[in-house]
Amino acid sequence: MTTFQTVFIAVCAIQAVLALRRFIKTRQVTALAFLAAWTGAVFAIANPDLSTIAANSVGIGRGVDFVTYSVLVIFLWGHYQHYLRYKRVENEVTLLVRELAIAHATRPLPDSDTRTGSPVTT
Amino acid sequence: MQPRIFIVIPAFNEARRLGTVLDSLAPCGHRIVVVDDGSADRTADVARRHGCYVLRHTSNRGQGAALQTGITFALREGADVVVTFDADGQHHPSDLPALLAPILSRRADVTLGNRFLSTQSNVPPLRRVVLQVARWFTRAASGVRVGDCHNGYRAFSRRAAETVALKQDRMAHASELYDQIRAARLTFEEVPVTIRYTADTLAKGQKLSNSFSVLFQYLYGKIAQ
Repeated sequence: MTTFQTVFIAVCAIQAVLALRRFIKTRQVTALAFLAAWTGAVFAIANPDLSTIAANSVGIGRGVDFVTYSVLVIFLWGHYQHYLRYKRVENEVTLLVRELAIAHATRPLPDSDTRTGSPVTT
Repeated sequence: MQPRIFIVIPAFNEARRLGTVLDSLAPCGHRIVVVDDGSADRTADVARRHGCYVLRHTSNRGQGAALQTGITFALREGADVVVTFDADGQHHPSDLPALLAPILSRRADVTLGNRFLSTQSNVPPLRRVVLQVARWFTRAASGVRVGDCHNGYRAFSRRAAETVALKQDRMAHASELYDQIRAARLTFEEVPVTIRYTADTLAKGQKLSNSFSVLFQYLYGKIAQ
């Protein structure tokens, strides 16, 4: 086993244990997905032929290509999920800012010379 | 009974130009709602001094968000007609009667300003090309046959204003609006309006490079729905 394999297997294994702890604690599907991903990484690094076998089973020649495509798809999916969440939060912030603006809306006093507004009661 | 007409003006850092715009609107006698979209300057103070309703976003949320805030407020204040108007002086109050006529005569739910129907508009050539491309895209994406797009000079009947719910906070709201007009089967008319471009308005206004950003916001927004 090379130094690279030793270091990366150790890192991935620690992450897998942390994901497992999180899954046991929260029962979140996301934690389970991370557990599967880190565990898969441990096996793929320990035995590089595994990724080639997986690649061949879906018609891809090289294991590294299979890993690259998989990571790309997962990354794009994750990015999209983050974007959806970001948009939801943005919309909620806008709603809050809007209601705050309406609640504190002002109109000038009937005296046109006034320099200060009075709250609008709606 | 006179219809209650509200003019909604979204404004971001427009303290310098807003006063002139509000002075030009004053003779119309309509209620004016200025939505200060988190400006760092004295935009809200200028609006207050000119006898407007003033709403202030605590942070900058974008023109679409500011418009929706103004429309929501106007409806709660009992508006019969809501007009949207830019704060930078590109729009002219003299076009207002033509914009209101189809709504007041109940011929249309929405009137949309069309700068290309006016001989007075001085649209720069490159902007004209970009707007034409945007118009084709709008027609293809929303199915609404418009002659101009991203023109902020519009009027809504109360029913239309209640129907419209802009969720695109930034500039893509203009494209989103056409989708909503079509989905709600609102009737609309296009009215010639004069848009005057000056070095000042071009400097602060939408950059042509923003077109791609608006396109992505719109497409992402549609996917996210």
